[in-house]
Amino acid sequence: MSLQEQIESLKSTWGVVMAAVAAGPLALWTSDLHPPWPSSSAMVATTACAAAIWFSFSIQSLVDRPNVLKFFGTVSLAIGLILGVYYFSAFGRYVVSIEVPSQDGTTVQTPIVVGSEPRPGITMSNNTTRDLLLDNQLIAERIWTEESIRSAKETLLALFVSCFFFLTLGATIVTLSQRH
Amino acid sequence: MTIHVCSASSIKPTKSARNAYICFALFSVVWTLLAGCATKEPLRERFQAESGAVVELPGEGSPDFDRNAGEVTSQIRQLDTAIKDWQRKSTHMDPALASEILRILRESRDAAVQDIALAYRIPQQTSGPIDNGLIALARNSVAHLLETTKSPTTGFKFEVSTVITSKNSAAIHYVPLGEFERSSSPDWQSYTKGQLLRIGRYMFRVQPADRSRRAFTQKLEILREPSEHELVPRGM
Repeated sequence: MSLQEQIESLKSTWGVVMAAVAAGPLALWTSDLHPPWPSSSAMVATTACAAAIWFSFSIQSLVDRPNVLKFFGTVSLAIGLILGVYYFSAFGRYVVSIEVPSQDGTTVQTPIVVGSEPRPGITMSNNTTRDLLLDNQLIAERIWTEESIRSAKETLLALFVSCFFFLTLGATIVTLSQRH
Repeated sequence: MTIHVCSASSIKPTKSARNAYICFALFSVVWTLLAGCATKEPLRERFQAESGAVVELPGEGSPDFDRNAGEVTSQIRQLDTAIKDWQRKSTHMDPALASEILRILRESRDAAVQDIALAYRIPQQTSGPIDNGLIALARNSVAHLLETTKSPTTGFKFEVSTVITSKNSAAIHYVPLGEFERSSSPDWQSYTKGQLLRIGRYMFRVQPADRSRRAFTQKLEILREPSEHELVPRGM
């Protein structure tokens, strides 16, 4: 399929649907549900979505049978949904929002990524994560090991990016299989 | 008997031989790169100061290497990366403010390097042991600088101004609550009115000017800007 045809395809109603899927990361970004690290995580995921759309056109040019395409698309969608569930589960586990003052005098919810392995001497019992963070001046590295915090950040980013990659890939392939 | 002699220029490599040469050349390049990566770290670590001066410190494997000092030098390497990250993220800040913060970060980092260098010089030039006090000083300084670089450079305030007072003129000290609960001898810091404190919970200790009266402690949560509290002993 030529570039011109790909653009024509994106102009169709299904193209709008695909664009909506690709806009998913940006939607989560506006609702503060994107990974706090790195600060450009929504842009990283959107780039992955664009790569998934390009990749799906490549798959379409290799596979002639619509049924096979549809199968690939459905499997990708299912993988994307499962990764999405894992992402929100990890987000609930590793991200704590604390209200802090902003420069303009209002207060804003600031997300902080926490780890899973406490440092020696830190007791987690009877303490909520928020309490522990406040007792340690919101410095997660004082409570959890740096390795576990880094691992949490990387897990969140990997799940977020791969979730939207597979969702976009699946939606695009299913769309293209119907146009076959 | 006939002997055929051919000149070197007439010998041309076949296609498979040429492929073999290319493979060998590629293999050599890859091998050289891998070998380069696998070579041992130098015995001396070099740190460049803001002024351009280079400070050399003993690296791992060096006979005068000290493990505690080595830990601090590795933290200084982390700090260098953190300062670069901070600089990249601070583009939207007021340039004068960002440049001032950056200057302080770099100067403090250079001072920590100098502390380590001095700690190493003492056993080299005297018969005494390495100065662990200087190493501890550098360690605390680098830890504080690392925390500073972790504060978001966006519109959030992680440090708020505070007005903590007591009923009578008294010396006020504070310590993060987490440290107070963990440590048997917490490092109490002296408090001055209007001081910036990082958001969180603290244990404050008030020592009345009249020494015959007992000191008392109180937990405080610092969240808002500015944070105002009056410390009052229980029962008053």
